[in-house]
Amino acid sequence: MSDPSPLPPGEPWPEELRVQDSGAQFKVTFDDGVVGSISAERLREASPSADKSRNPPPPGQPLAIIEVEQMGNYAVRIGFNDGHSTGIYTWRLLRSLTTH
Amino acid sequence: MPSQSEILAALAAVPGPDGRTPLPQSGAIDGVTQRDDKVFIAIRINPAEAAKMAPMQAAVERAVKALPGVGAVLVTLTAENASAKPAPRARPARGRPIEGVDKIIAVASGKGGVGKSTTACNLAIGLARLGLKVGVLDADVFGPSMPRLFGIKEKPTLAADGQKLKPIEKYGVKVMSIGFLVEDNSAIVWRGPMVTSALNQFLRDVEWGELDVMVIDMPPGTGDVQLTIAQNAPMSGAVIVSTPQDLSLIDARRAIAMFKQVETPILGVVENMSYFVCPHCGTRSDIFAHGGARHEAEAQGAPFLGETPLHILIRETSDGGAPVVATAPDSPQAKAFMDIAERLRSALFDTANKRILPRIVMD
Ligand SMILES: Nc1ncnc2c1ncn2[C@@H]1O[C@H](COP(=O)(O)OP(=O)(O)OP(=O)(O)O)[C@@H](O)[C@H]1O
Ligand SMILES: [Mg+2]
Repeated sequence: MSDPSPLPPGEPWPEELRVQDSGAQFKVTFDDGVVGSISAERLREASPSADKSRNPPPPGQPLAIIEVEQMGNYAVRIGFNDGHSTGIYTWRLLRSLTTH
Repeated sequence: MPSQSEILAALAAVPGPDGRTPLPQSGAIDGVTQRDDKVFIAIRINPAEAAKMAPMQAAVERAVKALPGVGAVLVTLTAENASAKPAPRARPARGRPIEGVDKIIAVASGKGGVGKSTTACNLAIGLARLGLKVGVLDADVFGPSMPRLFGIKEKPTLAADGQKLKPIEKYGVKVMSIGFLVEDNSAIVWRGPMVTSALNQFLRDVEWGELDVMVIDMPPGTGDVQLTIAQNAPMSGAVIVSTPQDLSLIDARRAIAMFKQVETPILGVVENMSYFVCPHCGTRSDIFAHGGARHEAEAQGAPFLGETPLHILIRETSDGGAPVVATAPDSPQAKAFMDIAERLRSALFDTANKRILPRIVMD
């Protein structure tokens, strides 16, 4: 039948999610040793939220990650300083953003 | 046609909801409207007492019908508390925890008739078969399904403390539904605030005891009533049921958005009536583009929990009060529900011991 989501065994799992450079970078460390940084801009661009509208960040400030919240055991919700905070990033999505 | 004051004068002979105060003075009359020779009267009541209100309803009908020129009288009982303010919108779900109840999950869909209640019932029994203590709260006050699905006809009794209602236990699950209390639920017009207080009573004035999981069967849709329930019950997460058709998927997306709005995690999406298995030859066919719900789940960043077939056995057992997971546990149909129950259990309880959540660090 269907594959065993939500927790497919053997799929890379993040060990640490680190917001760096005043929110400009998002560093993800996976349990298989893969480490990568995703820029706030790229992360914002890849937001899977249905709300696609974009506002500029506050004047004089670069786009930044301001909030990271655990969602269940499969994803995090990430908030940005442009007011967008409805994007939910699954481990799978973070993995593909880290490696591609 | 009589005037409004003539109608009210006639109603003075009818005792109000408290059984004493004449109706016009009781403050319970919500409105009197007339069209042609028909009179419509709305009376506000406490829904918990709906069954007791039938004689009053009949007395109102008789009193008004006796007036000259009146053809028909329609009396609706309105379940609303006049003083209750509508719930504020878009506040995160932060209901008080319920003592003894560990996890509360909502089974919801945007669209009606997609099999929410069938899924809720079979998943609840499935979770119980996995060794969990499970309760089902039927929050679909508009069209409660649990009495039919579980085949429960008896009425709940008072617990030993004389205060709380005892849920009815069947197939290893404790069940409570407005359908157990009210004969003909269609006589009540529910409004948002009253749904909230009825739900709160069901959450808190029912002797649930120790539960690992409480499954709440939601009314279809994503309106104010649904939002209010999502906000008022301290939910651990929501399971969204959809069929593979586009219309259902669009509504499922709305349901996901609603739960996100109140910060309730989506535990996952279930595709019901996903594919068709011929009851004669066992051949499987995908009548609708099967897999739509999985796609939608992925697009929304929600886990996909599994799919259940469109099968006559599921319909017959549901409508016959003998849920397939309880009565034909070895059937492929029951297995499909058990697979989903297993994933749900894991999503709810395995987080800590199976896989450690990532550290979140803000430098
Ligand atoms: N997998 C299935 N195979 C066959 N029939 C099904 C299946 N799932 C549900 N049904 C049937 O479809 C009908 C609607 O199901 P159900 O009452 O569970 O839907 P619902 O989403 O709860 O509806 P509502 O929106 O009215 O609350 C019922 O007659 C039920 O027996
Ligand atoms: Mg239902």
